[in-house]
Amino acid sequence: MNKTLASLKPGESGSLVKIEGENRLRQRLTEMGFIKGTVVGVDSTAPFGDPRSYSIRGYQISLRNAEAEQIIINQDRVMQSAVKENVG
Amino acid sequence: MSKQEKTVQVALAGNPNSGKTTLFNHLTGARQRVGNFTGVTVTRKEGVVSHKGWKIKLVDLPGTYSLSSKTVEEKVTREYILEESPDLIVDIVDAGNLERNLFLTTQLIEMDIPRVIVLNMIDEVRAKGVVIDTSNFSKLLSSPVVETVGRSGEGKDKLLDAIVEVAESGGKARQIRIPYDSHVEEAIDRTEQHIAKLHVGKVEEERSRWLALKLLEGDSDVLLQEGDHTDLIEAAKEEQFKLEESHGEDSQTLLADGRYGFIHGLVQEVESKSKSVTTQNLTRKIDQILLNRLLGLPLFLFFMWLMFQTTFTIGQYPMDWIDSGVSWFSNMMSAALPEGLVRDLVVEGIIGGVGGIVIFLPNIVLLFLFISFFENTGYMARAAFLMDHFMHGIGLHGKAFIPLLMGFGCNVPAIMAARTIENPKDRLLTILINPFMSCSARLPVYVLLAGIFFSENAGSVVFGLYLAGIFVAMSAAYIMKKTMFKGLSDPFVMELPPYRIPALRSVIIHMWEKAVEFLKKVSGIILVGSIIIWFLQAFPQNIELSMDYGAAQNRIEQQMVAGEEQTQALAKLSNAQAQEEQEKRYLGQIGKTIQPIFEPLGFDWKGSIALLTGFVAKEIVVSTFGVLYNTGNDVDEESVSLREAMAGSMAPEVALAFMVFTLLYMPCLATIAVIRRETQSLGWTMFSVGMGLSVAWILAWVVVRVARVLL
Ligand SMILES: Nc1nc2c(ncn2[C@@H]2O[C@H](COP(=O)(O)OP(=O)(O)OP(=O)(O)O)[C@@H](O)[C@H]2O)c(=O)[nH]1
Repeated sequence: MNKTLASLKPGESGSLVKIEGENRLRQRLTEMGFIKGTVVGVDSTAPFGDPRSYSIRGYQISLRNAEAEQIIINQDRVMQSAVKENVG
Repeated sequence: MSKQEKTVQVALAGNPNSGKTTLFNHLTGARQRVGNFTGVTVTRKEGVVSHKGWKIKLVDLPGTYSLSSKTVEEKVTREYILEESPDLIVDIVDAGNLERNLFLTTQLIEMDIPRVIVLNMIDEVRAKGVVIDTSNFSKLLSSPVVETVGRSGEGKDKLLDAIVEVAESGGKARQIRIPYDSHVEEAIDRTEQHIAKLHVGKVEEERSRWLALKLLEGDSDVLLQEGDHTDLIEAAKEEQFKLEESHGEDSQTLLADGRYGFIHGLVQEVESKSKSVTTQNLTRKIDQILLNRLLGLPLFLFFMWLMFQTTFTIGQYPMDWIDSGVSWFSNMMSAALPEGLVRDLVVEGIIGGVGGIVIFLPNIVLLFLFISFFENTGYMARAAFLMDHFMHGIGLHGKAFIPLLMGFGCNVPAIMAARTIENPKDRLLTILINPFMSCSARLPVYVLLAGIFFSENAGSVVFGLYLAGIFVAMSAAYIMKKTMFKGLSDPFVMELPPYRIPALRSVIIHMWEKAVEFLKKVSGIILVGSIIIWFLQAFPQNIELSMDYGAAQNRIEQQMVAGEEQTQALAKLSNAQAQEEQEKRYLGQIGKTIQPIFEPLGFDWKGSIALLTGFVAKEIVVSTFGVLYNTGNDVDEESVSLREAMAGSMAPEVALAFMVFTLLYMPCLATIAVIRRETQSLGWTMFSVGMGLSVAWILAWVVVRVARVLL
């Protein structure tokens, strides 16, 4: 099922489906490795609930919730890819 | 590159936090030149190393994730590569974070510049039990690959060897191609054919592929550059449109897909886990405390408190030394020079003026020690993370918090620290509101006036002033963001780098650079400013005084018996003379001329003069009052005689307004100088001064009106 990255709880993860919204955000994120199928996980939350930090491709990045709302992820697929990673 | 002279121009490029600067410092040692890239406030460092008979000229480019020229750093890097065409690029890659770091590498490959790839932070990779097959890596990317540890300098010689090797081979890297999806490749082909028709024989094969890629990406700079070839642009747009149509994704994403696909394959080939080390992720553990939802903010505030506390307590010692050094020097000069105007100019104008500002050097150096430490450990990004919600509310970036906070110490380093904010608009806004943060030099004015006129509630008044400063800064930011700085703010996409132990060398070099930067500022504008103020205070020389002070002095000396009383009478007389002189010199005349402007606020000509001198530095306000209220200029805010003298001179609400005015108008010459340097714009500097003055005037006026009713 598709959700936005902002709706994930800390500790959860999902695989990226697409990035909506304005061009600049999408370009910046794509350059930093937010490509379809990449696994993104939620790490920690700032004191007021915004921004939050995420881990992707082995590094951490922080995004405001308004930005994370533009990022669509899928939680079903991550299960499979996580399994695959474990096997491989 | 020239083989006869054997010099090679090398640029260091890499992601932020890849250890570029640390490595650069190791390569060049202290022999580096720091400047700016033309037109922007992005630091440019250069240095020269000799190795195996070659003279290697190094430039440290800003850290970037990509070369798409969306940020200032990216623009600078790309322009440098395209326009100054270095002979080779050393691409510094954080080996522990290959995938994201190699994205920039793919772009450098496509620009077809001879390169050496550096796998930095290899120590961290080893500790994780990961092995990178360097020779295979080198083969796949057809360029030398060197492993280094920036902090210890390990691998430095191999890197220099590799640079020389590429230089001797004439610097031609074997081309490799990042393969894209077949539709994209076809579009590239067609666009390249188009380019070949336009620039017959002029564009090398790889360059034309790069050009084609950029056209398909819709890169605005390349579109502009090829602006004459309307049909090429039309054709490329058409291709871009078709691609996006058939894939349902924009072309930039498609190309990034291709690059990351290539990278993924590459990493699979070269990286392997030798032994399974249970990677206890230290960064994550530290973050559990430092980014904790309850503890995070208190800890951050504690660190900030510690920074100030240390800066101002430890800084006191070197400040005292500088102070005695300056007085020693000025005494020496007084003794050495014959009495007269030249001596006054040197001693009072130059040494006094510049000395009064150099005294802040220790504080600035210490503040930057902390900033550099926060940045190098990776805590700076966390601080921005913790504060972003609050700062975003007033239209600022999380990173703006620390520069604003530093403003309580001194606005000069605070404005310099705004460089950590990448977005130029956010940086400018942070700089513009910084002077409203009440710096430590304003405190003596508050202590003096609040002590006299609000002795009961002095503490609350001073505290209120600090709050008022914050409030004005926040409102100004909010209003400017809603009006002049309207438009999309940059996405808050910020990496939180792993915690690392900083290299002492880098921290010290950073501190040293900031000190030099500060001193450079002092030597220029401050010198001129001090001389001007001195001139206004010392001229005209032959003024007509209301009485013959010399004769009066003689009278006292003859008629009174030597002793306490005589000394007092003499002091009083000479103060009276100083006051009258002050009043009749240019500065006093100006003070009287502009006094009508301050009339509605209730300031008399003495207050006006004090504010004028406060333009140079706020500390001077108190000593000006000392002169004007007849107690000599050797007073400070605690001095009883000054307090008694001033007590009846102002209404309390006027004193309050005076403090508000002092809080809000331009902090000092050094701040103006640093704003000029950091914004690189005279217009914004004037705007900042103008805004300070008008906000100060309006609020002081409101305070007088309201306080008159309430007090
Ligand atoms: N463990 C380890 N740490 C390193 C190495 N090289 C640099 N560091 C540390 O990594 C941190 C960041 O290094 P910098 O040199 O400031 O990184 P940079 O690439 O110049 O960063 P920007 O200035 O943001 O472009 C510092 O704390 C360094 O001490 C290395 O090889 N191994």
